[in-house]
Amino acid sequence: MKRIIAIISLILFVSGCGPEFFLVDKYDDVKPLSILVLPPDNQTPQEGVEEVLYPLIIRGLGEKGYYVYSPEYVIEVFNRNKFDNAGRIHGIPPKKLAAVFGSDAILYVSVEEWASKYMVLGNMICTQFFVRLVDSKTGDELFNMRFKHQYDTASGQSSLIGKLVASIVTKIGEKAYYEPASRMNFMNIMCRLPEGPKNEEW
Amino acid sequence: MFTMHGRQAMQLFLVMLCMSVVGCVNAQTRAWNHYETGMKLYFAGERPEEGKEDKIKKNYLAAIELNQKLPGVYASLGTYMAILGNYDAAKEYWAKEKKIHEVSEKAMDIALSDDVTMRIVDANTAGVTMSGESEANNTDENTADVKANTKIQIEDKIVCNAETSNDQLNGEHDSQEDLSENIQSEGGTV
Repeated sequence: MKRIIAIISLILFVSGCGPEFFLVDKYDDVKPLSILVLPPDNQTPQEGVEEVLYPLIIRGLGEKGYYVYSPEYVIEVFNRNKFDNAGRIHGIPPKKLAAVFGSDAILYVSVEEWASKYMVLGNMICTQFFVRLVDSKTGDELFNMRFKHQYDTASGQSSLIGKLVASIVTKIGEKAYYEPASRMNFMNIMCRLPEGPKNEEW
Repeated sequence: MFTMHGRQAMQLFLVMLCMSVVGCVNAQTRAWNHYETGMKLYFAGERPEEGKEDKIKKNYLAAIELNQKLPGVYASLGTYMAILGNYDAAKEYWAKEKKIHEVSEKAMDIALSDDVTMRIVDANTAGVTMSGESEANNTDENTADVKANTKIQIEDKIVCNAETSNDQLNGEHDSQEDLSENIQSEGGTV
């Protein structure tokens, strides 16, 4: 009996460990073709986050088969309308954004963590994103997920010397590690989102 | 089912099919690689120097060459051309984006329907960064005036577009003034 309880507890524990996400039941009915990706809202004190993240998001969604509006174009339109802050842009009602851009859905990305943790052997790049996909017409949430990812810059190094070298290299060129770290994080989120209508074409 | 000759032909066909599929995947991935690189360089604020290769344009064009159906790539190239002051090329690329992807029609019309819309950055200036800060030193009063005027015009345009479409959607808004207040107040309160 104790063994059964232990196994059930283990199963519950493991299943509870998986990342949580929300996907609306009727997603296939409302599956959007075009997604307007708003500039990521950087809630961390780090600078240059959006520059790294924005292209990754566009690619991630595009490769999944969604039409994603050119980020350069979107930013320019917002800037020229005095919306030069991602927080403010995220506050514009979805219906208005859809009226201007004609998008089926809007993707909001908030960067909640963007930091590195130094250790003696190896470093960790920690990123946490909160992603929301909203139906432009109704304003209903179609998908959301918060995910924290820790990217070990010394992964693949089995020897102590290797880890030490990797640790030093990371400290010198830390910025370069944020890209693979955020890419992996975003890919983890994207794999929960169903394929887009044009996934084979693009 | 197949003769020896037919079987060989079938095998050859399958091998060629596999090779073409693999080739397609690679081309798509490479196209995305170029597009992503172009976007990164653009947002990093890189702009062409005289006598040096324009890396952003080169990457966008390489992406187009590999897969011209890539979503947004023509619009990105068009925007970049507008930033550099080449408005004719910009309009051409925006029109291509609109033609290839019908879903982009509304967005592209913002720039295509109004000649002035995207013309706020002088050819000699470097453009606008992600944070919205102009990289160029906009000390020239004329440029600043043009910029200010154009902003107002675009704002009107967006408000106008929003009004029309919202009216079509639910008829909530009665006047442009109401909507203008809405877009400013709702956007501004966040």
